[in-house]
Amino acid sequence: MRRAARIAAVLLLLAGGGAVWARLFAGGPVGPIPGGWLDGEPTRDLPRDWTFANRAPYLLVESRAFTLPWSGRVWFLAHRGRLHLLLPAFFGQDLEQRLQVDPRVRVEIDGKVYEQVAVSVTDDVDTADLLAPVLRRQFALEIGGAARRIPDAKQAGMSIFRLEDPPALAASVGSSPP
Amino acid sequence: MKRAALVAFVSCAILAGCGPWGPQGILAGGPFLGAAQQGPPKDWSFTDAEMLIGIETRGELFRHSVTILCVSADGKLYVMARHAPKKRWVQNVLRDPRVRLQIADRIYAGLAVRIDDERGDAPDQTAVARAFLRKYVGLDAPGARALGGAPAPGDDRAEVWTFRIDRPEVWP
Repeated sequence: MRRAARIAAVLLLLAGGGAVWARLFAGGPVGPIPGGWLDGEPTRDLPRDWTFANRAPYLLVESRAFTLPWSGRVWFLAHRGRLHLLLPAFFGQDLEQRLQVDPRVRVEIDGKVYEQVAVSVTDDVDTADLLAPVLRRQFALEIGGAARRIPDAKQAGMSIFRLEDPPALAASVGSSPP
Repeated sequence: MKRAALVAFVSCAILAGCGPWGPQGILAGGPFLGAAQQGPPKDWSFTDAEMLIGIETRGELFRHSVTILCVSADGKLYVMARHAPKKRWVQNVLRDPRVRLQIADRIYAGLAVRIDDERGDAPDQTAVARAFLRKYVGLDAPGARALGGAPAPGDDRAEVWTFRIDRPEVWP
């Protein structure tokens, strides 16, 4: 019994130590474990069209809403040239809660870190178009025609945020992917 | 350095997965503590309130439990596996379909029966696709359908298998 308790304590210490290390020193998320600040190269040259990012399955996103920076791997899609974050409730609401406090985020693509501002997407206009490629890739589902968002389903559904250029950097938007 | 941390994390996760406890978030676990409810529910629609449930499967040596998504359709319960051929719990279910489910604070026994077909348009599968979009995406899509079978080479979509939870032949 004492031996089992020791093993459990060691496992707990290792897991806790790993989580602390990831959060403070890893320079980003470690697999599914959230990390701290992203350690890519900061750049002020923002692409005009983010479609090039779609080749990756996840986007690395950092929020500094609270004292410690938080970063994680997030489902996303570049749709109509802009990055969109797709946050299913079943992955938890860490990032969504942070975005409600401070919408500014940093995203890392190919080692470069860009500043963006997250804006919640709540209208129905092209939700199906936006979600279709992600649902196909992640869940092998086809929407197959018209679809509408169910009112009051936000808590159990998927939140969508569009990333826009921060006003301070809008003048430095480039015309081609880096 | 990142790789070392990932290896340490995976090692911890594997070791934790042998313990006598259910899954903890993204970490796999061992057998559930506690006995299953006597008799299955007639209608599983109460599970719509649960985003995640636990499933305990029988491995060759140990029981193995993980957290999964579930949907109810027409009163029946379905569970899905993304990237199914790579999942240990799926391999266990194919070998031995007896499972236990942890839903909220209760445990239910059942038999996991794979229902999807190559074309993805089995009646159950279509109902599951619609129910899934309603529950997890907040989308009402009457024309939704599942893509069955393995993805073609170069297609980066996940391979999703769906299992219906049936009443066990012998109640444990």
